[in-house]
Amino acid sequence: MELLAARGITKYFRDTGTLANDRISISLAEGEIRAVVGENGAGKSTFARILAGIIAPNAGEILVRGKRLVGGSVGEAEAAGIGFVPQQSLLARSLSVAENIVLGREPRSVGVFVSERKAYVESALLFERFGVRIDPDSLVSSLSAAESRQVEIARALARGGEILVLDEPTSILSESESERLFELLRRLAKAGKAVILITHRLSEVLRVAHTVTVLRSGSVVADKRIEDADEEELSGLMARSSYMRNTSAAGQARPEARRDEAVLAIRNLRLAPGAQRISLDVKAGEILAVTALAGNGLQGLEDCASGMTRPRGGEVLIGGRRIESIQREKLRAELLSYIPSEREAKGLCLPCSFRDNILVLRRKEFGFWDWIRSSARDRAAREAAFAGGLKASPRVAVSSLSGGTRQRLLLARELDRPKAILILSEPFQSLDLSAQAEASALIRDLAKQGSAVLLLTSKVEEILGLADKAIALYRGEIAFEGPIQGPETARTLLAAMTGASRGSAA
Amino acid sequence: MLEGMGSLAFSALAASGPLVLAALGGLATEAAGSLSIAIEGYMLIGAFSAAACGQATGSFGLGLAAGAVAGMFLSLLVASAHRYLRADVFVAGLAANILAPGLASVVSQAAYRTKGVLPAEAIRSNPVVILCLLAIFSLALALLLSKSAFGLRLRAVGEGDDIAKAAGIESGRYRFVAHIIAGASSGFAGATLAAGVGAYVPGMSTGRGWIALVAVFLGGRRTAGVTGACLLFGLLFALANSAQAFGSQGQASSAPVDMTELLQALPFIATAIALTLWKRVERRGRETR
Amino acid sequence: MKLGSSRAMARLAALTAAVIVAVLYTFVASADPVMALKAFFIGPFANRYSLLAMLESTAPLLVCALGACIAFRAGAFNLGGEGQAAVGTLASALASSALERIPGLPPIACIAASIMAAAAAGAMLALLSSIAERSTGAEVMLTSFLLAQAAIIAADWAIGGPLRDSGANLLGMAMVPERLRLPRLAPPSPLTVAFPISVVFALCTIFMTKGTRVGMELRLLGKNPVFARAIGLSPGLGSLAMAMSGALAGVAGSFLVLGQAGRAIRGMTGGIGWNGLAAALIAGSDGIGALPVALFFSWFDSGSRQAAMLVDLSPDFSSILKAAALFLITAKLAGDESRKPGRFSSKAGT
Repeated sequence: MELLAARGITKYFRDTGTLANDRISISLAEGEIRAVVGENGAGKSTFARILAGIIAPNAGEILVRGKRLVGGSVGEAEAAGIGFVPQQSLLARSLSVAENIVLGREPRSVGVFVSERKAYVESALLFERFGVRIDPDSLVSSLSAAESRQVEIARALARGGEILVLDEPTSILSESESERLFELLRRLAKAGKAVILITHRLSEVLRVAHTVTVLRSGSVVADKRIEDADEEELSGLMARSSYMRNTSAAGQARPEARRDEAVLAIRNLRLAPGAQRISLDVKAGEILAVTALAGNGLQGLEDCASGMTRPRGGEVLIGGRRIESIQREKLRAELLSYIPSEREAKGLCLPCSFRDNILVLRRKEFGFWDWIRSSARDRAAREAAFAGGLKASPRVAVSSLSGGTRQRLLLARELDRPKAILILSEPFQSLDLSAQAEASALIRDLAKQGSAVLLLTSKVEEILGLADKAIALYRGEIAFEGPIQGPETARTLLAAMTGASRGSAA
Repeated sequence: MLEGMGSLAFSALAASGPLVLAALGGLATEAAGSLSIAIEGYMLIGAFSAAACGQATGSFGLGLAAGAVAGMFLSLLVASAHRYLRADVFVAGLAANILAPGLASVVSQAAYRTKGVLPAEAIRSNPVVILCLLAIFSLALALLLSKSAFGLRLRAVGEGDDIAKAAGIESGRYRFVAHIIAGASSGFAGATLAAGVGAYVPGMSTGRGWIALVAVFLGGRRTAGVTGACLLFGLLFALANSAQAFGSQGQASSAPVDMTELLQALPFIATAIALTLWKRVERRGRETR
Repeated sequence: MKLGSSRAMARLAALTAAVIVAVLYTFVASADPVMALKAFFIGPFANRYSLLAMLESTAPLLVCALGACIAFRAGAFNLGGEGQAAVGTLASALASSALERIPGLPPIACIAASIMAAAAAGAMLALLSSIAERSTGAEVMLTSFLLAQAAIIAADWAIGGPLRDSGANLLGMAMVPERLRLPRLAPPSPLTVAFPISVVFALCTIFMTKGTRVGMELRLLGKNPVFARAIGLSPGLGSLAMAMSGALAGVAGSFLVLGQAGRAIRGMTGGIGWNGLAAALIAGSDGIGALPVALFFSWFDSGSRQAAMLVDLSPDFSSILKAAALFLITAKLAGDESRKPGRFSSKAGT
């Protein structure tokens, strides 16, 4: 009998207007490891959380051993045997491994007191059974990422988990650590547990899963047994169709990079544990795109390149000078345009006014009286808004603006003139297609005027027709580097991003 | 000489006693991730209530119990404001600290027609007895925090609401209880202050509640460390007092204020330095990419 | 802006509710509630003396509250106001006594210098915390409190000990001569130039927060420090805010010394730092509400004292009102306006 059956799961998020899951159906038998793959935003995480009971679906049903679950309750899901291991570790770092495992169901010695011994024994037995080699007395804070992952899985099992849902478990693990995790999963499967593995790393999927479901834009586009699956076919299925449209713009002639020396030079950055250090250059007039799926080092690259984080052992040079040596105010006002991917955290002051946000880099242009009377600043804000194709009243708080408007605010602020370097991370988020096209044109124009552009994104289709060169990162290392030459490049990039070109293990 | 040291040791213990209990209460809230700064207020209202109740009932036991209850009520105010009205814990704690002396004064005036010292012979007692009571309760609280299921869950709650939720623990409830514990323990500690002299003197907590909080941090937020820090502070106070007494014996004019008074600043300076150094070490060791 | 008026409403509601508490209390606790209420509501305004005395006592409180507002705006929680005021009293008294001996200096210069000395002392104490934070990340909230407590002990010791005026029968320094104290505006009332000066400070603060670039930058820093760093806001801004905050608290101390007391007395700050913080929390970070809230607090104090003198109520009952207002103001549903102060502990949660 089927251990788990999800039928017609649909989830619509009203506040963002997205249909995250569209009639997804999946089945799972005892001892089966099923991979659920898809690009960022394909709906994998939402589906995982529905299974875990964290959110309730709008439609559809979940059956465990034939028994229907109401949904939307973590307690119910756990009682039914569904254990969820989220992407970010939810272990209590100041407690020991054993304490974490028994947390909430602590074995007692006398009355209120916890029996440390019983907790130890319980954990040790569990670890023994599945070949986990961790000392239950060690503190979680001393564990490596891989060990934490294993402890989370053990905890889910200890709480009665028969069906484990793992959300991107290998995102912070090295190759060898991932392999050890897969061994644990294989042992679990042999013991009759079922595993749903949410991931975007195709090559791994092929190593450990028995079956694979491909999600794209919220729907199931493929459901195969691993023996019947082909890596290239799968990665092609994962990609959204829209990038096919953009490929028409690919291959268009672009003016050669004007100067030969690198305006932005990144040297010897280590972007993931155990990864090789990478270096890259961006020249004036060049648009270099770096693509990677979440968890493969893109955020780290952004943080270092923009000067927000100091790299350990590597360096970032702007026009030959180390970024730390340039006064940041001058850097941002004159040399560097930066659009962060974490827009609200690093790019905006939500409670502040639209005017203050859009003019913040130009604040020194205004004189004493302009700060007392706001008319000059209001006017400047309106002009900037108009130039950026936005409509917003200067005094309105940014928190009340939509995501699309906020993004356009950032674009208007940062792309108002061709500064030496543009670091744009997910610059097209929240934008509709026409706004995206406008923004692309603007970026191309700035490059033509001499800006060096570093474009960071996880969506391959956005860079076609825009970038001259592309680098794909996988696990923090360069998996592909080369010029954009049309739609084939897109496929190559995607394959590199998912680790396909690494080749599957035996 | 030995006798002098013995009495010094004893007065050090006597000074640390209330600190330990109050500090452990504060530790409970800190462990839960919701530090209560109202310890000072709880101690004050506890001292007052003990004296008031002692005077009214003539009972030692009831008086001390009243101190704990009063502290509990005040903490109930803070915890409820935080949990149900979404008040900020810091501001609510500040309000409690401002409220406590005012409340004490007001009730004192209304019930006993005095705003000054409120004598309560009934609660005056042998310091050894008080110390034993404090030790027992402190030990119980320390065990609760470090060895019980409640303490374990409390610490998990302090790491984050989502971390607690992942283990099936409802954070709000545990934080609430932590605050009540802080109120009860600090209130009782305050009551022992009043019991020590057999009266309530306005403002008699003299910043001990703050010292208890300082001890929480100096002690590295662990029961053993916090207790150690309190013992250290108690020793410092005892030293300051005895040096003062010793000094004024040999001096011609009785200087009411003594050099050794500056010793009382030591706990604060020491903690400030320790915290800064600790942060420095932390920052150096933190990983960057 | 709509948002602004709802904040003002919330503050008014909190203060009004506090007043209602006062009314209820008088009915419960006093044998003669009508008399008590008259004393509370009308007493402070009944005659010129008490009205002017009320204004005078507002001055140091207002200035402390302004300091707390500025720190609050920049996202730092300056908990050391009490200590900064204490070193202010010491510095002011020392400056005055030193300047007294120099012949030929116009009194106004001496008074100004004395106030500035107090401001400098308070600023330096506050800056210590800011420096510690910039170099190590130690939370300003914690260090400002700790250093201030140590400063209070040190100042109290100095004033009551080596610097004590042995002739006097209280623990204080020598009197500052009449001509070097703040000029009285309306004798016999205690009103001095301190009050108008504090109002000027309030206006300057409002001007700074609302009408200068620095005011906007401070707000940015307070609302999203990561963003502030990303766009290159000067790292010295936080220190500037702390220095201003400490300076204002120091000035409050000098007002106490150069005002009615006429000398530095051990323990004279009497909770002004905490009251100023409480007032700032109710008033909000732009400083506009600081004067009204400080006046309310002064009225609470004055009214309670008057009621205590005439009837059987306790004068400390103003604390209850302040506490009530604080509880109410923090029990707002929108978390947007009042930035949650940085927590003591480095753990996540709440």
